[in-house]
Amino acid sequence: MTVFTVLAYIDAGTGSMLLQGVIAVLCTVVLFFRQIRHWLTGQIQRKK
Amino acid sequence: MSSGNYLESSFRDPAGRVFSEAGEFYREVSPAGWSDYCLLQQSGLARELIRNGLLVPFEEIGRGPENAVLLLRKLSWISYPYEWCFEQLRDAALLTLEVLRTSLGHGMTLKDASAYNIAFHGAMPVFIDHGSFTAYRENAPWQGYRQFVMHFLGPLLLLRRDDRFRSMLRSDLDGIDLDFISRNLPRIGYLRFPELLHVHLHARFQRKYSDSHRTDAPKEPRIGKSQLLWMIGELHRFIASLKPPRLRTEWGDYYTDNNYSTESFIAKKALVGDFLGAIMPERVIDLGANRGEFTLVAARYADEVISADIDPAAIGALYAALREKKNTSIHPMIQDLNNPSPGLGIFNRERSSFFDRARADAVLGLALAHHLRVGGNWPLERIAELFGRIAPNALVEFVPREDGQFRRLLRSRPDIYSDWTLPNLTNCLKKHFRSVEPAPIPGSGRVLLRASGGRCNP
Repeated sequence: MTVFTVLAYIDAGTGSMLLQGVIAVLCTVVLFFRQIRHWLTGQIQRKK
Repeated sequence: MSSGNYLESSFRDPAGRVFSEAGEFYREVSPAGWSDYCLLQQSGLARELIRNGLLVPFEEIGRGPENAVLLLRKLSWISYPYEWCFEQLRDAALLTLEVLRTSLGHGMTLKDASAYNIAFHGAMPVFIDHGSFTAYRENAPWQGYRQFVMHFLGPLLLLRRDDRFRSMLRSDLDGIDLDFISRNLPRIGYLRFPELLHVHLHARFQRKYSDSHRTDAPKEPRIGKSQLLWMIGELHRFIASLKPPRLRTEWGDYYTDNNYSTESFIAKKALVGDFLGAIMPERVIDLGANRGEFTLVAARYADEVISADIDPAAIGALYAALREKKNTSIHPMIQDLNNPSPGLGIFNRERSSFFDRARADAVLGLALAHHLRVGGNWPLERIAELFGRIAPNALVEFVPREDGQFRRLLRSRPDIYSDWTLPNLTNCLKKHFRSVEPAPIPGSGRVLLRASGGRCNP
């Protein structure tokens, strides 16, 4: 038998809001590594 | 100016409502929406969106201390997301993201992301809800994010899997539940990062935090504007990369698989042109339009053509062709005449039924009536009524029993259609139209019935 959670008090957006917090962290990490990549690429091209 | 003729679809927003008067549409900006409206104007956002064709133009015709009345440019035809093909829904999603991105550049954001905020002006999507804009709060998450996934991203991914999910857009007007979307997508989607993040993880988060016994509001997470723009950009890139599903099409190949010789086909086009040329209609509805071969003929004579067909692949092909040409006068839509769009929402009046909207000066039913008779078991009287209800002029194609297409329909059915004769169809049409004249299509055995003088007011 499948038991479904009964969402009696539905808070429509909390999960979505919190996920955007996660996305913000993710974005920071992505941009950080992207900057490092750009810096490294710049260094290599300068040496050439 | 104010009116009691408020549109049933605009009652939810306290910031303003839309009403109609003397054939024009107006938006009433209430005190609750006043500051956002002022910002929309003063920030230059409205001007930029309208200049780029993203927002329906409006003109302020009245202003109070904290309210205003806007005259909206009239959109002659409204279709709903459950009547759109995959490509239309995808373009509507991209437009929503574009509007949001532009808004953030002007210190504003969208407070919702409903698919009903988008209308199609021909094949061009346009944002129609001027009340959706609100001031952007620094580091605030996007309120419309969940709705965007429920109205756009989730349905697009489901439609790629199986086109029958479209009916859920009709039954779930507030969007398809995240949990349902996640459960019904293949597990391989976990390997696609945007799908994993925006759908599966989103559904998990929603499930985890949706049933809380806490009554105090949780602390709002912070997401900077550049991070939000990054998220919007990634969503945009992912959605733009979604290709329409390869659908098995029943009628999409009709023009390459029918009984017409080239000469007959040209003659049929000429007959359609003659019929419409004599009427010069403002609006034509082409029922069973397929990929719109005759819709394009009709568009030469009419200001606008509604091109409806049951086949999403055919409508998708027509839309793609029209979109490329930035067409604004042909409105493609998916419509099943055996089960047309009903009135939906509160009191069944929030979204109008197809037949409440379907009024025209002329209606085309080319290679359609025999499908209704045989495929849908429609009595002849009902077929005639269909055309009589829509327009005072109709062009109905009669396909004789000897025709290959008719025989194909009978292949797996008992032939209980002895009443399918030209005189019978003509007589039934005469109950709705004053005059019905036959025009044989040379070399095909088919006949076009030109009906005019119907009682229906366009």
